[in-house]
Amino acid sequence: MRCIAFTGFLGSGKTSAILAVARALGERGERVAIVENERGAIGVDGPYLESQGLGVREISDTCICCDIQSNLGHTVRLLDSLYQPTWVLVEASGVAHPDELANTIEDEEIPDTQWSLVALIDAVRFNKLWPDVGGLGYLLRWQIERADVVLLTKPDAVAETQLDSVAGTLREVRPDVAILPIVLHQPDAGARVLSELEAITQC
Amino acid sequence: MLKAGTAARRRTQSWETPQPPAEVRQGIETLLRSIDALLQESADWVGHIKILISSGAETSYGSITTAGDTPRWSGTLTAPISQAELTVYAAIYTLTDAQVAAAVDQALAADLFTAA
Repeated sequence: MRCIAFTGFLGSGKTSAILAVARALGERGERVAIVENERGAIGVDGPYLESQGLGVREISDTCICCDIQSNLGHTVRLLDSLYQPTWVLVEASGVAHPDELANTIEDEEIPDTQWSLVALIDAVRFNKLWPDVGGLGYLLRWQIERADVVLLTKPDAVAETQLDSVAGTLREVRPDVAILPIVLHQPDAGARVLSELEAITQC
Repeated sequence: MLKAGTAARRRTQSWETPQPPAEVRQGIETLLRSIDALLQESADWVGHIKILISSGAETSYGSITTAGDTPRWSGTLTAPISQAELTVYAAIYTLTDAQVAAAVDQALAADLFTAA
């Protein structure tokens, strides 16, 4: 079973990325399960994904990285027993610390699973977040540090020079990380994300 | 751990005559801008404000992610709408739940989209 955890700030495009990847996997005939982790009792992402024909299990009002460390493992095991998915897509909340999330995944040691962490970095807001006002830049740095792939989202909304500048800063933090600028609403977005993940898995 | 203040409200909206999708979208964007303006009284905020509209047959949401942002849309609305469920969800870094809820509630009370 392949599991992908999507990290990123509130509004960075995690739900759109999951929808795109789920559709691409569906076209391949894969069985896909999605775990949502929204803050608050009333969610939007779960109902929206369900409206697009996808099944979702929500972990609401908690954070999968720390508040209930066993819940992510429990949920993935439950999904496996109920539906036998070949892929599980996990949306971390916008406050999830990637390092703690990665530790949770390692501690759970779910057999026969291969995990990848995908960080979504919003090109439009990068310069607002990076200066670390209120701890936001600190979280952003960890998202880059722990990612297997960085999706640089909303590249169509910034000038090419700004995109190059953001990518340059990302490379200063992680010279080796795969960076994929991507417009998530484009039809091939999900397939491109999967190709990138499969490329790094083969390395 | 980084905190984000959150607020979520769900309500049913009815119109006497079916509304064209463009009108509904415009109303949602007005509501998003209203919440944005109220939040800006507290902070040059970063986070996510989403308004999901579900007519039963179709579901879509508009969202903004920072102070002064231009709304983006996911999903499409194509048919006129006479009744829909609206879900307003706001999660804003560094603000409290109370601050975010106050902005959302004030905007809802004043806006086109009020409880049916």
